[in-house]
Amino acid sequence: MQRDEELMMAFQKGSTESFSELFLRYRDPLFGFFRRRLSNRTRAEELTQECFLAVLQGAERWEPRATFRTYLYAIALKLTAAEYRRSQREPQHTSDADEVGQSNATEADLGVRRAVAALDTEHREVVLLREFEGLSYEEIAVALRIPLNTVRSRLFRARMSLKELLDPQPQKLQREKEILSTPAPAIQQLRQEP
Amino acid sequence: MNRTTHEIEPEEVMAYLDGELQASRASEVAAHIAACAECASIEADLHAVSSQLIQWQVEAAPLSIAKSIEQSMAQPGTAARVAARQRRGLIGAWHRLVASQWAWKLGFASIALLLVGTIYIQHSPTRSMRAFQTFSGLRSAAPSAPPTANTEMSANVQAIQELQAQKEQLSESLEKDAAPDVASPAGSRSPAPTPGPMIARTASMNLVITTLDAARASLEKLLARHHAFASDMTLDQSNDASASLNATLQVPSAELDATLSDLRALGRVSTESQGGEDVSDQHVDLAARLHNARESEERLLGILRTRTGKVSDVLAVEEQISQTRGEIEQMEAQLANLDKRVSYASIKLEMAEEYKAPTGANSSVALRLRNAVVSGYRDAVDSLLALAVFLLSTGPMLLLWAGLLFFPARAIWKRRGSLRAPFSKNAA
Ligand SMILES: [Zn+2]
Repeated sequence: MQRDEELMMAFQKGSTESFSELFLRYRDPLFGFFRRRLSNRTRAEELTQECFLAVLQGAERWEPRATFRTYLYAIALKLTAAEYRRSQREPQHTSDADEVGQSNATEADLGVRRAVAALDTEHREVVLLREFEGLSYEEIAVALRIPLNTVRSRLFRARMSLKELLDPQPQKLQREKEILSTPAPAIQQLRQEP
Repeated sequence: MNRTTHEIEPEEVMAYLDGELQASRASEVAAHIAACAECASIEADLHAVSSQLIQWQVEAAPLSIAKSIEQSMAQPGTAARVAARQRRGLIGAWHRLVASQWAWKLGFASIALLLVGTIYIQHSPTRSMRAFQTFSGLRSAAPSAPPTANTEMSANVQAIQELQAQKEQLSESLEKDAAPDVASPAGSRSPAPTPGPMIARTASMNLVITTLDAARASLEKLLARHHAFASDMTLDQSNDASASLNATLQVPSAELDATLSDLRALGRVSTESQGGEDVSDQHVDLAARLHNARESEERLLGILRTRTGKVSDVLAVEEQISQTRGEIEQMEAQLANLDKRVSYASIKLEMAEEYKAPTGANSSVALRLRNAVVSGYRDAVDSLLALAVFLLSTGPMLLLWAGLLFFPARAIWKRRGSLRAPFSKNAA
């Protein structure tokens, strides 16, 4: 199998088939990228298109300094940031969000999405790029323009926070059970009365 | 635990798990984790987080993305020229135009295909063949009428035509199979794999009973005895002259006769009928088409695996796969339904108490009037039900016809309009 970078260089020399191959490789991952970061499915679709078009348009100037996917996701990150700014300016766009109504949402799925949403932006971005886009620390550093050490420490903190968010501590669960099984004082009083 | 003297940072454990350490350092860390409970627990935590995160799966990218990228690439010239010339707004407009044109043509073609498919599926094989021939002219005219230069479109037209050719071939083979059955009952073809005829049995019975509650209790016992069940049941006690019960019973086919004779014992039989539909042909037909569809799906998946790398090819194949998948699922559901109808006979049961004189009314005229009102009401309900059933069963067909006739009708209307316009100008 040809490497992404080889395909990109072949495309620069005029092989449209090479770009088709790249497209087929990345359309699902890229759509997933936007789908996990935006609540609006239609916008995720449109931004996937825009991202590929941007790669098409910038292909001439592309240089194999970083991996192709770093380049692709860096563009995707820029588009996402612009989308966030846009949706803050025009709040009505958030009303057609379908986050909760996602058709294939399972309960576990929902828990994960809530936990990820609870992270702050810089920690969330690092962990998403690692876990779902599968980028290396180096690639994340280039895409986000942050030092390698920062990638590592943020990633660790993000994962530890997720652990807390996803798996409530056993003692806490135990305490919740106790509270639930103990009748409220008022009810207790009522019970004692004949 | 003493962080300051611990030679391995927790972050390094993570980097090791992510494959981000040099080989020499990685083996050191691995050895440390094996000996250190604290680091082993960090490892376990990190594994747990990752495996929980991957539960967040999202759907595959929609095909529409491929279409518009394909459109951009299909522009004459190299990628650089495309890049230089296109502006974002223009791209959007162009895509919308292409998409709408596309949707229109594809919609037209799929209505024709759906129509043919519906007729083909809903009718018995011989009748469907006639219908097929009647529509074949119309059908082949519809998708091939606009011979556009759009290669993507023509690829799909080709795909649709191939699919139809397949169907035609199949209907021919079925015709061959069906012919000897009519000519010589012995049949010259090899025996069908299904043992014996498959009969979907139905029965209906109206019973007059003395008290509904007692009859209902015995009915429930009877159902349990025959391993049968009521797929729906309506109890009507709204009028005090007579209470009634309507039910559809699903009875194992082997138990039908015994069930019917037990039902007769519940009261006085006012009407009873039995019917059976031989669904063997339907079954063989469906099984054959299902087999064919599965094979073509396999073939298409094979093509997809050895794709040439051209988006339009992949697109055409994907479109065909999803179409074939839909057909397969539909046929599987029909086959399952058919099997259910054969293994379970259905009985339409109506039980009603004998009309009782309303309390205090001794006149026989009043009683008869009352009964007439009751039966009139019941007739009205029955006709309403019949109408609803008729609409439900023919509605989709009517809709399809309306959809199919809409475009030619509109085209004729427009043409008439445009012809009339110049005439009226000349007159003025
Ligand atoms: Zn340790």
